[in-house]
Amino acid sequence: MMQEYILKRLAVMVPVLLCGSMITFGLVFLSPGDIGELMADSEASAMGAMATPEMVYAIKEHYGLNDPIHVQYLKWLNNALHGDLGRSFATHKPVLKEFLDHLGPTLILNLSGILIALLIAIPLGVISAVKKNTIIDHLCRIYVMLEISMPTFWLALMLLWFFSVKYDIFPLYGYGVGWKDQLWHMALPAIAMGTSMTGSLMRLTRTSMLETLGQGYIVTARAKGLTEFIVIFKHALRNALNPVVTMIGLFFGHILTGSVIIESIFSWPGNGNMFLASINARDYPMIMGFTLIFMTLFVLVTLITDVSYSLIDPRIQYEKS
Amino acid sequence: MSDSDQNMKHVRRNLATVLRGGSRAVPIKTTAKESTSFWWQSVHELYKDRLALIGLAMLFMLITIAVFAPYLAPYDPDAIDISQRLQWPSQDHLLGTDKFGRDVLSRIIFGARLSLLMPAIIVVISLTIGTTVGLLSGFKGGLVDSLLMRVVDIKSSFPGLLLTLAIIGMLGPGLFNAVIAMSISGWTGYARIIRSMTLSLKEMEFVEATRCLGTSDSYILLKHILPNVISPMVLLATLNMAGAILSLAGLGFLGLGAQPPTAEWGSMLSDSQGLIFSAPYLIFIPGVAIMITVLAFNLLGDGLRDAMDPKSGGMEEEMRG
Repeated sequence: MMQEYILKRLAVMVPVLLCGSMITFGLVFLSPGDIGELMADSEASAMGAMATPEMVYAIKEHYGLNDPIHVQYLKWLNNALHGDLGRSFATHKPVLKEFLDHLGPTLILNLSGILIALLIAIPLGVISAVKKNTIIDHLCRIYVMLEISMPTFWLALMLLWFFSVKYDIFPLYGYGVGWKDQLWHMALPAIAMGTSMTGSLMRLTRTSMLETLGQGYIVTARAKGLTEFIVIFKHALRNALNPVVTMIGLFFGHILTGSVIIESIFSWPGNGNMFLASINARDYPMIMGFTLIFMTLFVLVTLITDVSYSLIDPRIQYEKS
Repeated sequence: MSDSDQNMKHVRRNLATVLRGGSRAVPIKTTAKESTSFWWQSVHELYKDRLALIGLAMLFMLITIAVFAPYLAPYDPDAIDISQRLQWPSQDHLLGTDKFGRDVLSRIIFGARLSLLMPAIIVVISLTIGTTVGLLSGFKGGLVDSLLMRVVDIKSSFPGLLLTLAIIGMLGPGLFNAVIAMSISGWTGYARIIRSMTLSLKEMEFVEATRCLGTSDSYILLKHILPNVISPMVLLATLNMAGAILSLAGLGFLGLGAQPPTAEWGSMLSDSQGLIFSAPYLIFIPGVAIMITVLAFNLLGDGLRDAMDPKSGGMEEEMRG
């Protein structure tokens, strides 16, 4: 059943991604200015010269920009499927290589951020639900309210100010050399990223936990005389985790957009920072390539999240039809 | 309790479940209350909620500040006075001055205008698109429904801010472009919820009765279905205002939204990022302003959600009762 479900979902992915790629490609036509001239300017400036009309024409011919739009799209899609997303205007390197080169830092930052968020939010969410309407619960809820109202960039800057400027514990920005140094450099961005996810995660854990604690099987478990610890962690938490998994999946899916701000504040050499630089430099091949890659990854992550439900909760079976 | 009341409650319960992100059925509470209008009941519930009232008061204060900004601001927000640059908060300048000697308090006060108005425009545009699509899709069903919902699916394959960023990347940075980009990418959530509500509303007796009287589809849609989805729309708009303010400020911070010298909180923060050593108050103050505004909407939104959710008594009480 599982394979069938996955295959069906993969099949649905194809048209969705196809349309997504059309939108991505179509966005270029929103842009003011002529893309051929921009490319010629970029090539020319790499050689320290100005673009001539002949050069513009040659470039347009070379990249097929004189073709009708649907031919251009099919060519672009064909190249993209073969791993060729064009070259960055700014660095003249292939887009895919730029992406892969900066993937490591982004992944490691996001993974540690998510880990920090889970370590803080799930225990606090559970405590908040179990001790409902006590002082601990109220404190947790005030924290959640403040955290979800706080801009991530502000939180990051405040952490930076406190730990780097005022007390000089962590470095201000950069990536570091050697794993110890890198870990040191990563601490602050990871904490900022993790903290910014705690609010919504804590709230969700609490709600889900409260709902589960009201179920009949919890009453049964208590009536059997099980210890409160086993009731909460074995019977309730495991059942309460389903929505939490969805949210973690969402966090993974939002890796790029989530880390743009943090990466730019800490000058972290990841994909988010790269994407922002491309937007500011109007680096169209990079913007299109990154959008396409992240859209594809997002759709895949969503699928993985859905599939992982049945691993966590074996009661969930996917429909046979 | 009349049938339509019962049905309305069911719609509300559906909405509450959708908003919580869950899809599980919620036990129906059958304690009959005297039949009062939905709005009156909601206002009454809201009145009992102290936190929501605080949010409402904060919001009222913020709107007053924004409307009367020219009378409240002690200085011209754009008046440059280099001799007064980077003054720490003092009696002359209650919140200090920035790197051009502009009064921060005046800029914060004027910034309230943009920070409230622009997100409101975004929410109104995306709410209008989303509601139209949702109503049509839910009411017409069939081919219209499948087509519109595929569009929503495709839009949803772009994670979070990715589409917004990509559109800004093509259109170029700027407040106007940011508002367009956010409006285009924000409507799908509304469409989904309004559609699911329309689906259950159109099966109800009062719609059937109207149809028996021979009224046209558009009359039913505008006079009978739309009024019933307005209150959930207000709730959604309130909850999404918080997110829109945060995202727009984030874009301003990244230099993709409002451009200096516009007095906008996000861009004020990004303007002062390099001054973290000498003038941290320049970073602290706009962040607090954003946070207070978002907090106001979150408190009010939470209150509204509880007021419209008949389940707010909580399941634990029900279990004990």
